Amino acid sequence: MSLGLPSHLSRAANSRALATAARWAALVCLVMAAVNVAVSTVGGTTGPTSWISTLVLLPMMALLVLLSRGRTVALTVAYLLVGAVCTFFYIYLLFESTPEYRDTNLLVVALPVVAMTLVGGTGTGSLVGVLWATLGFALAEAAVFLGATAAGRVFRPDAISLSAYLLLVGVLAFDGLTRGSRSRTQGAIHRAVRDARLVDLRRELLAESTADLHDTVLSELVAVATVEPGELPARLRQRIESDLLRLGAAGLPPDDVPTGDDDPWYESELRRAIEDARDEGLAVDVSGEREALGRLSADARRAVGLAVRQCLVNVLRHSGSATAEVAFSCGDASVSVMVVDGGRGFAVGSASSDRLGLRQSVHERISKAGGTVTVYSAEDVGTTVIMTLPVEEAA
Amino acid sequence: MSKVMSETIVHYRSLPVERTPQRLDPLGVQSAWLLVPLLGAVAVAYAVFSTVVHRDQLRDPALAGWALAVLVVAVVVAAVRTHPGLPPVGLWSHLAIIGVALAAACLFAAAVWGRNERIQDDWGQIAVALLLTAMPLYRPVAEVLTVAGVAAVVLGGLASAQSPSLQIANHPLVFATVAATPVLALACGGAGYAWTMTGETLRWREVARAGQLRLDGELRQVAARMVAQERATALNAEAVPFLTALAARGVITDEDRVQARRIAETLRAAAVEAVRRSWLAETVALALSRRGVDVGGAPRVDDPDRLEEVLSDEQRAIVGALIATVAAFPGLVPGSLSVSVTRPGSPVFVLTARTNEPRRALRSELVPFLSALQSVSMVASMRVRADGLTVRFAYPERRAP
Repeated sequence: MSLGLPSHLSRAANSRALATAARWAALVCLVMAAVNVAVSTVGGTTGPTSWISTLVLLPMMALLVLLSRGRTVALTVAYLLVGAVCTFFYIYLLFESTPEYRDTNLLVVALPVVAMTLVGGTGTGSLVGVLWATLGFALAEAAVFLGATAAGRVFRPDAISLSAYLLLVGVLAFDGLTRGSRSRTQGAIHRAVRDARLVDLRRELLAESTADLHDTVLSELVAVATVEPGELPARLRQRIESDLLRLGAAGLPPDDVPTGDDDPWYESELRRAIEDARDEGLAVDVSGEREALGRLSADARRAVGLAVRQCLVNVLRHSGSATAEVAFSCGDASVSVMVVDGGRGFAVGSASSDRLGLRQSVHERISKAGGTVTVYSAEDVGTTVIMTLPVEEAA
Repeated sequence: MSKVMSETIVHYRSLPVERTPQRLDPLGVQSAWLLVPLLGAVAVAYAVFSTVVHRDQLRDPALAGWALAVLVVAVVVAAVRTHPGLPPVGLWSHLAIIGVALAAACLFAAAVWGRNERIQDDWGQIAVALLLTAMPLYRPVAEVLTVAGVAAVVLGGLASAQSPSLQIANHPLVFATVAATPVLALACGGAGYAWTMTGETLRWREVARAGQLRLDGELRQVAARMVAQERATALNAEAVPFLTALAARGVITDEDRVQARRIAETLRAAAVEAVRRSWLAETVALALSRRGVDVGGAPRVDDPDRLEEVLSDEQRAIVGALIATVAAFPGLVPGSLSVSVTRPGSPVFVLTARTNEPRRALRSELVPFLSALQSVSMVASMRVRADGLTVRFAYPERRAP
């Protein structure tokens, strides 16, 4: 359970949602353009050839539907080029069949322009989106100009398509400025979800522990309180000694319950890194021999903790993945910690500046601690970072 | 569990959940709030510009002025009603906002009636469309599209009725499409955005739920460690040294009998208190323990009827986060944090704390949680005084059957 998308996923989701919004609006524009011309034709205001101007919008609609199934640069370029050609013929045929339309300052002219402006850039991020929208707007206006000129009409810029362009730029800018502003509250809620479950489990275990206490120490104390003064009965002594043995010299509860006082995991930088990533909304699974962490020196534990933190930050920033796994394994002389995600991945050889963290925070830290780092990554497959460190001599 | 409690849980858990970003992603919608007044400002600015452009076509300038005033009312209502401090936006708020904007559009149409030259530069359909764009963030897509459809029919009807006076001779229905298109296009755009975002959110919830399940083993270990440490502390205080000494001596005295009874009673009372402690009490204790405050001593949660059990998982998450945030305030007087719960029919939670945090900081930290609580069907408010704060969150009053 979680309330809303975490920040690292909301950026991509927001882009996809804006793209869908733009496509739905663009499709309505194209359909309404066709309806407008059809009504005009049926009503006898335009000549029968205006039907053709309706039909020339069909390739645009088809490409719009294809784009809604998955955006690629090639498809977007195809949409803009085909859209420009369709718009040209649409405008030319519309003016040829409708003598009443004297210039291009008309809604029916603006609709395909709006459809081209909206679709190109959405889903790509704010700045790139504005550039795509500008290209779409410019191509569409050029097509309108050529179509109107070919039909012998006056080109007059219309306020509608310009307003649609400015509205889109405004929305993309707003999106860019407001991204990630939810993370603090959301982090608190993600932690609270885990805490709620922790409290439930604690209460469950507390009930079990209380029943155990009742059957052992409490039972013995009550027996001591009720026996006659004098020598401790042999059976009671046996039960008390048995209880004390179970509790251990330190007075701890049954052996099957780990106390963890000597487990470096709970106070480790690595655990804090994982908890912080979970606060950000990343579902991090921990698997393997976690206790292997205790075989590393304190410096190596800290180094691997900070390195894992950087790996998880990379998953949050770059992978687009909702989950990650931190897996432990150990050999005779080394401990390996592996961070795996199933996100976008990257070409390892061409690590760009945004992978600086991987080079500096991961490679350098682990090297200084005497370890090695291996990175496997492929685009759209995910990334695996394996950090291997030698065990502490005394261990 | 009492009958009243069972009924209360059933009642509040069976409230329908709308598929809206406001309901499923309240924090995201809070961060997008500014969009509403911005779109409203664009609508008003365009309306003023369009009115100036129409100055020679105005039949009744006063009416055009009234149209602008009514539009400003619609924009102000939209901006206030969608503010993060006042969620959720309900059906009637939605209808009021669009209804008033539609009335403004009708007034403008009346102001230029018979002298209007073009439909496409009228501001009525643009203003309604801009306000409708933001509505799918707060209301279900089907509802917004229905309202948009009705608005399109009204505006289209007005436009086609003006066809005799228009500059371009065409079929009246063509003018209807000109007026209806911006409304339908922007409403569909907003609906597409909301539908995708809610779909993404629902998919993420499944991923988060699965992740939470996989986390269970790890959390169980942490819980076992906590229980073991608490029990060890309790037993090592008296019971273990006493029994160890007794076993070594091998003799029971009257004093031993008295001491054994007292230790047993103390242990039993502590164990019973620990087992009976509610989720809410544990949450407060956990939050305070994170800042190193001893949670023993006076109870900080007063919930004799266990009304906290009415809280759903979502509500528990927000309440838990709210308590953790208050407990982490540097200026908090730790012993002052307490929660009381009353009224079994419609539970009311009141969190109080003394803190010297600046009022502004308190508001900016806590308002997102109050807004989130309101988005999950609770009524939440906060009062900040010189010496502390009171946060009240409650279930809405149930109507008499």
